[in-house]
Amino acid sequence: MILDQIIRDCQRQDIKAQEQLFRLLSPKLFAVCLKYSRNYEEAQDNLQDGFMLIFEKIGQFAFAGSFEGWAKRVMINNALQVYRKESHLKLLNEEVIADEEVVEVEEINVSMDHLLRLIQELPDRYRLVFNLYVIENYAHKDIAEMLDISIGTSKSNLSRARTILKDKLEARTYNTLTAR
Amino acid sequence: MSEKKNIDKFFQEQFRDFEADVPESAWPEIERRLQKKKKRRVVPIWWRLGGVAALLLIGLLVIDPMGWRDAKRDLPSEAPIVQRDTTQPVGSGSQDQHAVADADSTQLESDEAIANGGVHSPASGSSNVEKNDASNGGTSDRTKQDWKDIDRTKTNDASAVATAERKNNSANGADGSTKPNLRNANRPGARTKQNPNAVGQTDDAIAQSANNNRRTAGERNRKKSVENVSNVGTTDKSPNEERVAQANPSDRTKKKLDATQSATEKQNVDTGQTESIGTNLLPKTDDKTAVATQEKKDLTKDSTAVAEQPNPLDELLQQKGAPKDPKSKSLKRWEIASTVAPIYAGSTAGGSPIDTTFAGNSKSYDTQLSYGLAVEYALSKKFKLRAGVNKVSMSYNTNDVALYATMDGNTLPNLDSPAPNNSLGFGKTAARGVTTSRSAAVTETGNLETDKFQGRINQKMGYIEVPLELSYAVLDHKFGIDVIAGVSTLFLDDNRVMLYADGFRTDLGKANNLNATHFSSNLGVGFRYAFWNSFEANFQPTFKYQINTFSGNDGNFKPFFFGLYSGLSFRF
Repeated sequence: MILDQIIRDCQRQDIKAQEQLFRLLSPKLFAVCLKYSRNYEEAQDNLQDGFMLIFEKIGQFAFAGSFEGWAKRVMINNALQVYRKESHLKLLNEEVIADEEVVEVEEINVSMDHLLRLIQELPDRYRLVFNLYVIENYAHKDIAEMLDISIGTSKSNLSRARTILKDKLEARTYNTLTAR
Repeated sequence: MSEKKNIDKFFQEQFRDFEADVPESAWPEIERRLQKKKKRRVVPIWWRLGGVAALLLIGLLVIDPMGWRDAKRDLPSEAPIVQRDTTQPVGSGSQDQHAVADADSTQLESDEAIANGGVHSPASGSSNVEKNDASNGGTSDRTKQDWKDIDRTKTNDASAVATAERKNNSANGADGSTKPNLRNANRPGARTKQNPNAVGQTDDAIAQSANNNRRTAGERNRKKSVENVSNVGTTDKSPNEERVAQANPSDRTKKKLDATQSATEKQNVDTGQTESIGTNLLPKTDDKTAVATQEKKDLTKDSTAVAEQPNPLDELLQQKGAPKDPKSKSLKRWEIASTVAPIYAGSTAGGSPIDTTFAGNSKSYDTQLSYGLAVEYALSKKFKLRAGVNKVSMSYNTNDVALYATMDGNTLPNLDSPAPNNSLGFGKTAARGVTTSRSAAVTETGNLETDKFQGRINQKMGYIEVPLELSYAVLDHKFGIDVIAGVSTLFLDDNRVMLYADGFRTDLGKANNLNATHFSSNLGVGFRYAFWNSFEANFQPTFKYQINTFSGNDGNFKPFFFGLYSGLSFRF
């Protein structure tokens, strides 16, 4: 398989293969970075750092499972690293709230840009929990471990994230509606 | 009316297969960081390897794997005990002499026996003989045959004890019993207990047990002979023999003389005979075999007499306390040297690693200077192990190069050229200005002569070299000659290709077919002159054939270095 050969060449530090791998995977991986970062600039930094890590650790990939999944995990772990260092400085409402009522939104037409921005505007930890739970489908138990928080905190972070997003979405809807 | 949807599902659907546009600047930045990392890797490897080499040498200094240091220290003052030790019946002595004469190696191999019983005996023999050797002055060239003689001497002395033990394990016990004070005092229980197992012990075990007991001169003597004999015995061929003999000729000489004298002083009834041993052994300076035979005779005469040597001598010796520091006369194992060398590089085959176009061009090699440090450890008087670190580079010119501007882009695949230069095309100028070139643009150019520049391409490869070599001393006096062979590891440190044409210089970038690490095999001759104290001046012309310099496309270019390494070294 062509990707396999590229991976093998990357394991040999072949710079041409490394570039090929970048061209192949960066669109998806940059999308991941955008979701996990605070803004576009940070997403770029995280993309670069993430790829450096991928190239560094590519020797560890044993061709078991999807490489894309492996690379994505490396990228996400890198993002988590960044915020793990900072998160202890930020104060969040850690009060454990009642478990999630189903939060619903209207299925409106929103641009990806806007959605991304909403996510990026979330407080760091809420954003991470939301991404890990909703997009990557990790369980709260795993998220708690990855972020070094309690399961309860993970759940309440998720709830709060959902609420904020819903409010912002609806505000936007309302704005667009009333803007007429 | 829009539908309501679970917010999770909403986001999931929106972000499914979401791909983003990657900014153009992303990859160049990553590429830059990757290349920076590649460069940095070279130096840490060097540090690590250098550290390993240094650690190895330090380790050798600290850990004494074969008890060399102890061997040295234990040599002195064995003589006094010698006279006492041959407690074995005369008969065994004489038998043993034959055995000894006939089968040195086998006898020597039964070190265990010798060790346990005959420890004392060899001392005088060895000490005297070695003293003789030392006084000969030519210790450096001791041959194996000489050693056999010495061994014979030693074992003759020990024979009464040793062979008796060998033949009869219980004899070991007997030895223990006949010399109770000595044995028990110095190795409580060890000898008597060990004796039955003596034959089964290894030389190392013996040497170690020897090392363990250093309380008295007596012990030391015993140990010394154990180690001497065991060392010699196990390795007839090894440099150990020479080492043990040669390593400490001077200190042994001195101390044995003292010991012998004091020993002879302390003899009582049997003094005459013991003295005869000592005196008989002493004067045979040149004829080692004579000494051996003499000692044999003496043994038959004296064994019984000596056997009855009383214990008070032993006690006196035990009271003597620690010996003088033997290190003052011991072999100086360590040497530090600084080296500077003009390097004449060349290639054993034609060809060009820059491009096959230049395979036939004439090459001229610049003489470079290499400098560095080396550490040397003497494994024996003859063999030394050396390691070091040098900075070396090779710079050569490919002449008669024609340079054109083309549309082809980089036409030198073996070089990574910086951007503006990768639109240069290269060709080779023939003697009369008619050019051959791979570039299509050339043939389309109207006037070849005016469109080209002539020049030379200079390729410079700089390395950090870590050599590891073994040197064998062919001659070792104040003036010495060594034969040196080894390998070096070279780490690429500098990689530049420049074009010099018509008065200007263009950076063509780096060669991408150079290995970051490669090796060379080295062969050389060293001349050394000790001009003052422990300082020596060295001159070592060495030929280093480079292996695996290029990762590919080497164009049949096989480089080598010939360096005239000179420097100063200090021994300690």
